[in-house]
Amino acid sequence: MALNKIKSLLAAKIHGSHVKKHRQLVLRTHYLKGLSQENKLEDEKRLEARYQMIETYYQEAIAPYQRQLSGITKLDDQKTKKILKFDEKAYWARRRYKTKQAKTLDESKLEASLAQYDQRKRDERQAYLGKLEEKYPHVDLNEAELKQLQSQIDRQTMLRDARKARALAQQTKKHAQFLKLKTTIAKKVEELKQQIKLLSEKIENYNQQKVKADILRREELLQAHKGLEANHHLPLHYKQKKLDVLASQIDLIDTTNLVLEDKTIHLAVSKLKMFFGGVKAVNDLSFQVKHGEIFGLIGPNGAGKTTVFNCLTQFYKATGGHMIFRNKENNVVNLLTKKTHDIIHEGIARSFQNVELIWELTVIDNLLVAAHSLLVTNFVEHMLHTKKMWREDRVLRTKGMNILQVLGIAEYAFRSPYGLPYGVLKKIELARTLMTNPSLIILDEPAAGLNDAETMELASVIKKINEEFHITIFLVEHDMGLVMSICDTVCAISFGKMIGIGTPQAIQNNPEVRTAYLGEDSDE
Amino acid sequence: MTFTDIISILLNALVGFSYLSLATFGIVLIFKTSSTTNFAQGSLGILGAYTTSYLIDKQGVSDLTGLPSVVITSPWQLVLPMLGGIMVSFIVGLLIDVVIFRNAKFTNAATKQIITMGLVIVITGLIPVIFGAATMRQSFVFSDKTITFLGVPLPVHQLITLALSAFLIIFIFMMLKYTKWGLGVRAVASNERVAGLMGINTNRINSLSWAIAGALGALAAITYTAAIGSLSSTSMIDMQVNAFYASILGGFSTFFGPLAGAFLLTTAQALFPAILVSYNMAPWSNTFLYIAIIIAVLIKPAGLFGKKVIKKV
Amino acid sequence: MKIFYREHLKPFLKKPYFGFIMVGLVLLIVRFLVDVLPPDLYGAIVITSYYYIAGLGFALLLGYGGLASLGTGAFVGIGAFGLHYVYRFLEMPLLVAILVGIVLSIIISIAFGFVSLRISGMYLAIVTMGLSQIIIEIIKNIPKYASGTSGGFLSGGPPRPLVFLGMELSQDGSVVFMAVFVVLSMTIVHNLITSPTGRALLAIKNSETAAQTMGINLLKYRLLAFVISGVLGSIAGVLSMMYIRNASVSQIGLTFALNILAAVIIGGTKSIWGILMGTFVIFGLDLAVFQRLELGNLSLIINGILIILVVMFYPGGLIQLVGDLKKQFKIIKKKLREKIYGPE
Repeated sequence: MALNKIKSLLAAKIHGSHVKKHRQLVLRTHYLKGLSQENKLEDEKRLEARYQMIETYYQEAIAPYQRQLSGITKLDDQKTKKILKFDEKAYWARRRYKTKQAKTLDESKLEASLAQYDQRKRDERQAYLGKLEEKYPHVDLNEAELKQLQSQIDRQTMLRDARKARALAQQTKKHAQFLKLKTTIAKKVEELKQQIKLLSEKIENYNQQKVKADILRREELLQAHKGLEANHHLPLHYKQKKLDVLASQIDLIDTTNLVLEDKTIHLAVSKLKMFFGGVKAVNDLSFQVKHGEIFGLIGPNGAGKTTVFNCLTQFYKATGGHMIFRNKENNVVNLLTKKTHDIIHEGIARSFQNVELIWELTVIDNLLVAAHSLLVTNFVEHMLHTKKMWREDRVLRTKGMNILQVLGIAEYAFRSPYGLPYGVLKKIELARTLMTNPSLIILDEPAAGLNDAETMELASVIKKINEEFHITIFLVEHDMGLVMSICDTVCAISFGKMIGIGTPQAIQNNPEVRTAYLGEDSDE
Repeated sequence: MTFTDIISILLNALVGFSYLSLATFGIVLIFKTSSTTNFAQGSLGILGAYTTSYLIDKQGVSDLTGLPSVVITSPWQLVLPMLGGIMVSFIVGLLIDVVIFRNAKFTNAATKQIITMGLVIVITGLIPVIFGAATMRQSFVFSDKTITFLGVPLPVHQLITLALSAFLIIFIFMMLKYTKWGLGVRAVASNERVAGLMGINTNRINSLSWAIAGALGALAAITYTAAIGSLSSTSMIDMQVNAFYASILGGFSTFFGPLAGAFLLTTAQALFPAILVSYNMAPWSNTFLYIAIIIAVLIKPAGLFGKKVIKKV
Repeated sequence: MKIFYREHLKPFLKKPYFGFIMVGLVLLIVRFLVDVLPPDLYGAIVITSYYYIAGLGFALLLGYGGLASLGTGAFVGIGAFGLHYVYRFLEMPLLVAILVGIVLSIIISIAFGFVSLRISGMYLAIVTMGLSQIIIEIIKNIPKYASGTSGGFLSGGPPRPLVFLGMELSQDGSVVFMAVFVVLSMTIVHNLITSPTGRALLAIKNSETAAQTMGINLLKYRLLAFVISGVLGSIAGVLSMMYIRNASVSQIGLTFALNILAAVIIGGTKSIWGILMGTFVIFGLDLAVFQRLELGNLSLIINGILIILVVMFYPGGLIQLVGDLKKQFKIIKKKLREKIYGPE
């Protein structure tokens, strides 16, 4: 008996480590895949920049020679410089003079005085030019000098081309290295994929064995339950408590098996209860969410919808009931055993009713924080700013920018979310959930505060996410248009109890739902 | 432990409580109305105490030695300076609110806390500049006499202090409960913005609270330093730190919680040395006290009588 | 040559690390100018530099963790007194003494971290004040330090000269040590701030619920912030002991913690250069200028007023002021031009 127990505990531990390894390998695969993504545009830009720098440098080197070739000697340059300086001084002096005169004289007198001033200055300039001619006479170059200049220019041009060729060679070498890296990465990814496949098989085996073991255990528990019921010697209060515990355990096994056996179920909630003292916020709620569907939860205010979310994501610990989830590694987990910050690792991302963004970071940094669960570096590597950290940073930034572009808010990437319009903030929250590669996204009133056009846009975005990435979506919403248009299944609750579940059509026609929303109708 | 020991511990606790309760109440008052933990409470009080000492000493300077030497002929020579000191702290408290906090309404609680820390530093530096010396002799006492009760010597000064603070606290509690002003204070303490919308002059209530807190602090400082005998800028720091511990022990969310915490703290302060002396660990009594408080706060983070506020997600 | 400069040197000069190394070099130069500089100024620069290290740790807690902890003094004390006790009385080698201090501070900062989980915001400041008071009491009551009227003052016995790797470290020699540590701490803190860890800390500070949803373990990161801040504080204590050869419990109490708070806030809570400026304004000015002119109290008054003004009107601190001044300067230059020379 004990040996069996030890065996099953050991098997569970091994299974746990399999799941962990699976998760880590998947993260590594993502990281490697991100690395191997060609960033052609950036490389081209970098090469362009280097060419530019080489050209400018050599242009500056050649320019004096060219000038001399074209007949402008060094003396000529000095002369031109002096003329320019003179002119600039004259310009500023004139401005000052004009302002000064404008204070004392009126329009017509001002023009006259300015004209006088200009004439005077022109004469001065002529005189100055003459003086410069004497000091810096123009002398043409002879054959030998011209030839020397030409050879200098040729030499510099040669150097420049050599440098450019070197830069190009470096770039090609880097690119070749990168291609090699790509093949290595591809190979590594293949290896990892094999390992992942093996682990998946092991996990699946475990799942099937668990089903069998659970059936046996269920029998045991059922027997215990019957025995306890038949026992009349125990005090009623104590007996009821024990019976409840046993019933709950049986329910747990039932729900777990339901998810294990039916591969289409993503999340199974059974008899969920959340009591705050005497207030029964959620009372005996049960439903299932299938893979890849859009599931809507509706109900009047105070019905307990957000409480359900908070129970699912472990912000509250449910008073009773079970929530069984099939996570990304195909492991069936009881969500109650998870801590709040572990939920994202299972593959559940959520958004909030009140926008909870990080105001002190830019939008793109917000997304980088969201990718926290995808990090393959630890804090020591962060302290030392290793190359791996920078590579990972680049991968995640590209991913973030892509997501922002898909949602159409890439223009806000580099500013703080503070002060942005409400619709944009909601989109950033959505982008945040997408960054984490979730398998289930929980949206808490995503259309709150949006007008009709924005709501329609939101509906199409949600549908796109659902179809392209095969992510199950679980949303709570008051906007019936949104709910009815995109949800596959709708569950209606009121005062913590379920009053209907089915397709949007069915719910629309459900009389109880109508009463809960519209109140008692005395006519019908 | 003999009966006299217990009585002496209890009386010591009560005496300590009399000073601490005034200081603690000042802190609670400001916390409830402006949501600020006032680190400058002790400094405000010390300002008043210095004023009192100064005013007393000014009444006479000995010709021979040049040192202040006052001949007390009438009780008014002591009471008037005391009232003067209290008035100074009252006004300074008022000014602090009017000049600083009224313009800092839009900062969050942590920032206001930092502002009070700045005030501590300012006042600590200001005192030697204004009063000329950092330490002074505190010559204010209610009375020099001592009576014995059940074999335990009790200075009359401390008895009077105890009676005075008990009276004051009961008086303020009555005011809070039964007067319009008290209702206003409680409303602002609950939700300042809505109180303002309901027509309560929040500015006046806040300024008055600061002023009263200053006055209470001054009274606490004056009586406490009188018991010690000397006065320095850091005299009230211990008292104020203890007032904070009392507040978090009792819980900031009620008005009486911190007072209960103050009572527990002073009792423990009187009790622990008496117990530890037999183990020869008397100097460690403070350490044990602080550790005990921290453990209590860890068990009940909102204080023994406090309520935790849960944020809605 | 020129192209080498443009291609390789210039980008390096723009990196923040270059600035850090410059600071270290400046300190080394100060060390070698020890005979030339007036002793007050020299002492002020050195003391400010190792208080800067403690300030960096505190800024990590306050600016990035949102945790107002007044316990910095305790860690400086652990570093200083730990070094002294282990080196002098237990006669262990220098490195061991330093490590003992660091290990102790790690343990105690973990304790602080656990406490911070239950208590937040204003309460945390008070509780950390209490915790640091406990540690100071413990130090005061250690038998070797309990002598003397105020307890906790170093005294007695012939001092044992500091020997490191066989070389004797004079007071000035320890300044070299300090320069290295200043550059190291600046680099480490800068690296942390600009890494995912720094962003995670900011996430916790802004919204705990969002941080948890994104997988950030609150306990782990809080502990990390406290541990690093504690280690930096105790390194500051070790360095202070190596330089001043003397410590007193009164120097590490509440006033010290408030001064560090002032330095960090006035300089700019989230910027490394800002904290440097703030530390020099608070500690440096006080030591170099005010103490000499016997105006110690004036510096206190100014510090307090500065805190209040900065916090109310200029939350970005001095570093924000510098940035704004630069912008204003350009605008003023343009306006001045227009005024003198008139419109075009």
